[in-house]
Amino acid sequence: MSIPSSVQYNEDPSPPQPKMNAKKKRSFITVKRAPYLFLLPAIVLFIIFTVYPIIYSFLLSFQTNAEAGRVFVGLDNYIRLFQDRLFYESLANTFIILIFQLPIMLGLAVVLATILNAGFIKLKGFFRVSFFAPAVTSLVAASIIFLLLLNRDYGIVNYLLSMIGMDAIGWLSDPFWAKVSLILVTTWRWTGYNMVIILAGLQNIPSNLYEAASIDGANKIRQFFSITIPQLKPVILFAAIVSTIGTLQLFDEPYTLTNGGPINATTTITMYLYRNGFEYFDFGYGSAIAYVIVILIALLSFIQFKWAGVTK
Amino acid sequence: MKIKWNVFILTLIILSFQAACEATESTTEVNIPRDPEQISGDITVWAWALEADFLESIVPQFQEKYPNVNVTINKQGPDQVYQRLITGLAANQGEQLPDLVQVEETQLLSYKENFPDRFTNLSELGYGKYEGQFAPAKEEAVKDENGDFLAMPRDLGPVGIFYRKDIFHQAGVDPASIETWEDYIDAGEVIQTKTGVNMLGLTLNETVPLYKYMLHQQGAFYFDSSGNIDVHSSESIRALETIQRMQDKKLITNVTNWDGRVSALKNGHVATLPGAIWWTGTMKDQMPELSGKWGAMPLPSFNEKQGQGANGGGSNLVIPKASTNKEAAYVFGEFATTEVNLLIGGLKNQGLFPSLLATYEEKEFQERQVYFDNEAVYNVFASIAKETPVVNYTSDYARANDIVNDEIVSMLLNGKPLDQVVGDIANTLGPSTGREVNKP
Repeated sequence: MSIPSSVQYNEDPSPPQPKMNAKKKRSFITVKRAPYLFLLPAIVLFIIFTVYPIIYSFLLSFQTNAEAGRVFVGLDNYIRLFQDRLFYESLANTFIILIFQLPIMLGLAVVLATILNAGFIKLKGFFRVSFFAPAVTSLVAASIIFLLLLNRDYGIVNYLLSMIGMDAIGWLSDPFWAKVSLILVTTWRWTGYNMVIILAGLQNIPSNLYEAASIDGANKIRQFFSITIPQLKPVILFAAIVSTIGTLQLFDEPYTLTNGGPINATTTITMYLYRNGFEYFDFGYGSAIAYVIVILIALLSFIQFKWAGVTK
Repeated sequence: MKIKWNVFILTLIILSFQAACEATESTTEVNIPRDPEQISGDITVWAWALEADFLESIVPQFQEKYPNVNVTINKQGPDQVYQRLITGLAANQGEQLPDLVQVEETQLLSYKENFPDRFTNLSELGYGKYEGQFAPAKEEAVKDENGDFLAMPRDLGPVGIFYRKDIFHQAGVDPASIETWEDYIDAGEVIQTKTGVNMLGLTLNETVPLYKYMLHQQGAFYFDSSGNIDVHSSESIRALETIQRMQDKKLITNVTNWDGRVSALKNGHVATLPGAIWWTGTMKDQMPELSGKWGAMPLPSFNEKQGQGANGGGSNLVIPKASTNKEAAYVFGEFATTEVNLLIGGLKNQGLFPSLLATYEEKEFQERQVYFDNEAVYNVFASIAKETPVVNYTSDYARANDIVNDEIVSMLLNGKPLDQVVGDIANTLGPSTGREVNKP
């Protein structure tokens, strides 16, 4: 029985099929290879524009400029880094901004998201767009507005303060207030973004939890702290880590608003990196700073995971 | 083991990338033909702002003399020119670089030392014949250590003091009585008490170049002629003490940034502006209503002997070695930097103050300007330009300028003591540049 069937198979009136298979085997594109081929452009670009710079800057961080070009100096750049006063100042600035700005921003984002998620609010779409708008606004345009608003002599903020009898504040010219301004502008810009993430998290909390709590007699505030916050924990953690990374890489805002001044009060670690690389041509030193930032981000993210008690 | 192979291959790819990026250099000799018609081809020029406008404006005249050269002026922002120049010089590929590019003399040595041998030696092309024809401070700043031209000198920013004649008059202060910085401070006190107007405004959020000007006019700088850090010098201490005294007598107002500074001038919040000649453009443009109320004088001196010149800004034209049409680039650069009539046009139309000494003899320099109460302002600044001492900007100018600036702002805002200011400049600048610090 088996012999005739195999003969019949060979004599099947649809011979192109085995032929096609043979053709396919010879061609480079196979079903197995196709996905890789489709991925290839992305991988090539990733290697050229991400992997290559990462490795090259790692090598650069062990080099310095000499008269004849770049020479390897071992750990010299890193040693210099840990003796550099300006490096510590910019690191301290970055952490001060992080410590004050992150909780304020996330707190506001949670409150705003909860309010905008509540049933009684009208024009929800309008408010959501309004709060999110700063995240998609061109920062250069926005910072021109802020420079005008915050100007010491003719800015509207000081004008309003003077109406209630307060002295003019050097929002951008005083080292302390410049930091405050930077925190305010960063918060203005990124609160809406985090609000949207948290809003998505809120909408995933099952409503029966709130119903059960209402039956047990918990008021809205109690519900917020005992249901909303614990349920939101992973979402808040995500927002916190993304924002921490963002703050450690904070560059645009201080660059456009204060250019790091006055007296380096708003020079963030990334700005210091930029200056060393692109203004002083000290690419080796700049790369060393970049690697320290990478290590810091990794450490902070690890600590946040541990602290939030997230397990796999 | 598989993973290790991947890493190995990746490293190979990366190293081959790097090898591919190291370009070969063209070492062909360039000779400039005598006959202008023999020079041909296309050249690209990178420049910013008014300099780009100036270069664009002279192209028609250039093509009358050199009909076979096509010039494309690529006007960009200064940051863009510098950033693209960095990547272009790093790659050293002709197609990544222009044939001629605008570079300030303060930046020139940074580029030269960090990208060795990437600029054309212009003296070898024949620019050496213009030696001694430019303001000395400018000419020395664009030469290399062998005295060869590295760049063709364009504009200068001689620094003087602009003052409000009406405010001086109101306070009963005679501007001619101001000869030294002491006189300036005394005048400031009188103006302050009689009119309530501050003597000067400093942009503490941006840069405070006053200290640099005061060093420069004394022939001193952040660095000495051999490149050592020289902030402990008596000139430096004298300059800082003078600024400190202005602060103590409350003559200085903090005008935050550029806009604040312009508005302080416009609104009459300050009586004087120590600044470069290019301020006249901003003044005429943004405060036309103050026409006839301004005067100009050289910087006050520290004692009778010392020169009164300082420089604040100015750029030059360089030819990258990777350029494929150096002849055409050279003749265009030469045309833009040595033709007196064109340079006078640049002064009148773009406000670019030339560094070619021959231009100062032209009648336009003697012209009285209505805006400056019929003073011949250009003439005042031409003599400042001639008197400006030669200083060594070094390849670490940008870093030094930032560090000095921060410390001076600390002194003015936080009351940081002077000796600490000087000490911190030296302690920060020394390790980060690897330069020696001259002892006090």
